[in-house]
Amino acid sequence: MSELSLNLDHLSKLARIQLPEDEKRYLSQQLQSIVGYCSKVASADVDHLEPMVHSFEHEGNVWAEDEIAEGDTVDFLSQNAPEIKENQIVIPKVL
Amino acid sequence: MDKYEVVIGLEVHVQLNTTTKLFTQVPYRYGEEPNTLVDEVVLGLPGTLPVLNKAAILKTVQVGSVFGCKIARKCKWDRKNYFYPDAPKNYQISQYDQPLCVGGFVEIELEGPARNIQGQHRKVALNRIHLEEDVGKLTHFGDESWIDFNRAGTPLIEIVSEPDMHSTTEVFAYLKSLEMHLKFIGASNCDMEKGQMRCDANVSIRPIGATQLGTKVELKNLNSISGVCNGIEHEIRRQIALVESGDKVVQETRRWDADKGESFTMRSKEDAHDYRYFTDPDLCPISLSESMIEEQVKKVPELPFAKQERYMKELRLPYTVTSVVCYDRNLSDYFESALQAYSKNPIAIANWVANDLLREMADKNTGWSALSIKPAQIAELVQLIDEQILSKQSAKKVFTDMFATGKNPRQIVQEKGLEIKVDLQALKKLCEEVIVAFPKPVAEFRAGKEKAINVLKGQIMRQTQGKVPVNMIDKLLLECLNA
Amino acid sequence: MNDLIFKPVEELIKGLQDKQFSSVELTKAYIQRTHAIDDQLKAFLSFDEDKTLKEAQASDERRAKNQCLSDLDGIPVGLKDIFSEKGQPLTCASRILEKFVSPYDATLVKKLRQSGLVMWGRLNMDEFAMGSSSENSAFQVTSNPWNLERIPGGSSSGSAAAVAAGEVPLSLGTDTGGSIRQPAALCGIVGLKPTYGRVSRYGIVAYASSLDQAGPFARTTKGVARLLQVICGSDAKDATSARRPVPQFLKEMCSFQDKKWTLGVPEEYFGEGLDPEIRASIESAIDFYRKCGYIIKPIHLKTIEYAIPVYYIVATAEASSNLARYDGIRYTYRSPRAKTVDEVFDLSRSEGFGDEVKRRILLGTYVLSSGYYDAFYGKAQKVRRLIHNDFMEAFKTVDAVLTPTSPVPAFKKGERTSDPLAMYLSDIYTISVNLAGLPGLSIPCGFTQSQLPIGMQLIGRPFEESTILSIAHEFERQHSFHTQTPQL
Repeated sequence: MSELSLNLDHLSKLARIQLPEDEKRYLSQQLQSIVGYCSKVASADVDHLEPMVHSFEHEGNVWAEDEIAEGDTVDFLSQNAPEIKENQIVIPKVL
Repeated sequence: MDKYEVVIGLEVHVQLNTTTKLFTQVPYRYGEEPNTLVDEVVLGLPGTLPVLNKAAILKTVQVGSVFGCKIARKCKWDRKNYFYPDAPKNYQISQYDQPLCVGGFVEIELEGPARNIQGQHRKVALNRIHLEEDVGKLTHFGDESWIDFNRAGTPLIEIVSEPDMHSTTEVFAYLKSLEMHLKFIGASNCDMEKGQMRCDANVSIRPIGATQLGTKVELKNLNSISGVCNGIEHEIRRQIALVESGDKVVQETRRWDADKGESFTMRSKEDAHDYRYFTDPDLCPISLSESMIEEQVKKVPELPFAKQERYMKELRLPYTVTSVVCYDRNLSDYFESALQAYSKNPIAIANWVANDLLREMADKNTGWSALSIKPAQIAELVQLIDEQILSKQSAKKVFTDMFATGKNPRQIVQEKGLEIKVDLQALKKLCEEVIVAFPKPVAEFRAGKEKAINVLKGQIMRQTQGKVPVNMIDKLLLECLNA
Repeated sequence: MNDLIFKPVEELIKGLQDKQFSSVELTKAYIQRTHAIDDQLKAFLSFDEDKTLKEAQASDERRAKNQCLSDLDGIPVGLKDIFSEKGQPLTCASRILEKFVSPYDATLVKKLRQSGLVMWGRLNMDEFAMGSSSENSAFQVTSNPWNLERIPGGSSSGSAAAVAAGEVPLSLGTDTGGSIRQPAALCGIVGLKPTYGRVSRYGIVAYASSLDQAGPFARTTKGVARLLQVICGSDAKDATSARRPVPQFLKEMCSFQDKKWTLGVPEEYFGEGLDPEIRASIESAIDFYRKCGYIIKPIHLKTIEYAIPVYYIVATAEASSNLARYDGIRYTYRSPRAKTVDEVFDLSRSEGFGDEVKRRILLGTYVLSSGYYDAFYGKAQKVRRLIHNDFMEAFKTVDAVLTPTSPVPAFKKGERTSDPLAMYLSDIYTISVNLAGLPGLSIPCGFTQSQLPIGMQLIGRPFEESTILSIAHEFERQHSFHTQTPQL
């Protein structure tokens, strides 16, 4: 891969991170060089291999019974939510 | 309108009625105080992890079996990444390229030429059924939106049809069939008003005879079955109008506004439709053995349409009755229980169950679990009538009593002295009187016109006030006429 | 009490048992030490002295009634600020979680409580575990106790520095690409990353889900073995936790004492870029093992050339998704400038995340994005399999692999901050171990001329922590590098 196009505007929209202009410039350069380094993987001969997502294969299935678990009553939202009304989280209107 | 063929595909999301959510053991119930059916996993707090609810998989296997799908021996979970305030993790755990069920069909029944004639059946092809977690609920007030995460994390099955429907009539039948089947096997209550069943439609048109599909438009916010049909109808007209005026249909997502009766281009949920799917590293793949799948398939009862065919053929029940009795699990189980107790008169039992029982339940607002009256008791009631111990008219009174008290019919009949007491002598005398009083029908009957007897019969029935079984009147009247 | 704070855990256990001191006295010694030096060292982000002393008090009360919960009952342990502890801050050294107080306990924290350990403080780290020096912390840079102008390593910076400096005898960190082993090496202590799945991840803020593991720091291998014992075990709340029985690590490692293992030495880990003093130190260690009767076998792990690219594709991809939940909506920092929902997302995240975190999220987004998935993420997952196979092939003929932990000793603050790639390269020896899911540890094996610690890494077969502990212990009991303490 010779020229990798990195559309930082597109990425920052997908990742929901707003970048000021000056940050964009150096970030773009840095990312370009990291991506360039990462494209080393292209040279590996691995088409015959299965992708590795998990470190080991479990035997059998991992799942839980359909039963209500005892939990601590969590007064969490009132402690940590930025804005809350009638126990619901408040945000600016979603259009 | 006649120049074009309409092609419709539906994506229906249905809430499975498991006790707990898909990836954590928090209960789900409709209508609770906001943000009370949550825990740290539901809210996506730092450090939390999902663990699969086994029942959700097993139920979905049952659903897949109902719709003739191929059940995957292996499937996995993927993350669908997008930012939206109702998504606690800003990704949804779903199934992308290895869904639990593939293919299949939904059998639908179209309306027949008359109310009492069965309409045509056809099978609408399905593409897949997969599991995913639901998101929270947003409500909008003025310049704010409020978020309630009670619904977040509930198991949803997404049923994706092929673009295999061609009219809103078929769409309606499809949704009704889905609802019936899912309720029948107890997988969901399918109440669209409670958000338990949600539907998006993909609509396109093409000139009749064309083989390529036209540009499709996705319609969202179709919040009721009638909304689905109205929204689709409107979209069809909109697309035809565009094409007729030389414009092109743009591939987009539109939001249906039921109040305004029109649709609007939606602001997209995420700026680019790039969900960046990848296998969720927090969850293990699922592996289902033949025996596991078999076990679930065995739990699926005889389905409504098959049951209906059987009732019509073997029990000789009319179509209209079967349409009531077969489509509801509670009702059909009840009916079959009654039938087991007394099998000689299925039509009578069906009528009691489909008409009187349901009416009484509605009037008295009684649910199935609160019923005092047992299936065997209704069977006994019919038997009493058949054995001419009880007249039909009196039987109605007995039924009302049974419903209220749960007592056996025999007991009630005895207590209230409702047995048919027929004074055969008096009846014979009455027959002879009526024969004398109506010579013309008598003559007609003796001349060969069999139906003339009905006039005489009617007279006797009126005078005996329905207390005498009809076949008894028949027998005696014939005897007198032939004497 | 200065000599008390540098005692290994074995002696502390004995001291408590023999009633030479109480847990409260012991804990106070560490608290005092922290007060004395942490303004300089900056290992701690926060601590709650009252709470800690209460826990120590409770331990003493249990001991008086002969109701100790474990051998480690009453011993203080420090926690990287990445482990969820009910009622305590959980910042991950990030502004976006600066005010967050967690409402639940991580499974690992529950286990610490169940064993009677006394929790002391929340330790500094690189933001969201992304970094190798603590310079990515939003709040402070931790210094290396051996030389305050240098970094202690990362991302479990505070966890390593605090143990090395005697602020706490035991601590816990997490390791995704070397974040326990590298700081252990740079600070001259023992650090172990267990096999993936040994320790429950429930309640540990996720960076890269398929690579993260929590692990212990201590002054000695026995200390590490003891703490490892407490935290291991399958967990119904973590579907990725291994459902294998947990051996008695201490017992097993001691039972292996006379074994003459076969150690693999991979040529590719001794190439250019390895500091000559570190090379000399490791070669000396290899000689030592040879003299002990171990078999030293040269092996090849050619896949090391792919380690960093694969890591930075897989880890950042997972991280970009794991960190999406920090969005200004429910419980994080919300930008006061945000007027619309879009701004709540965009501004809260832009203002709340540091540069390195943003870099990795953007990189992760890129490698998963449409059009690039196959070439990057799809490919990297297969290369990961190749790396795993490479190790498993080696393990057919060797019992453990011996390498340097870090190619360089502790570098100066600011030395690598302008070139992220240079920072990434300091993880070259440790990263493959996470990708392959193997257990790995680092023990002190020497010092540079300028008195900077050098660490040696041992990598084992899956679930064979006892083997590498035993091999490490053999070196430790015949050397005294681990007994040296910084002058701080």
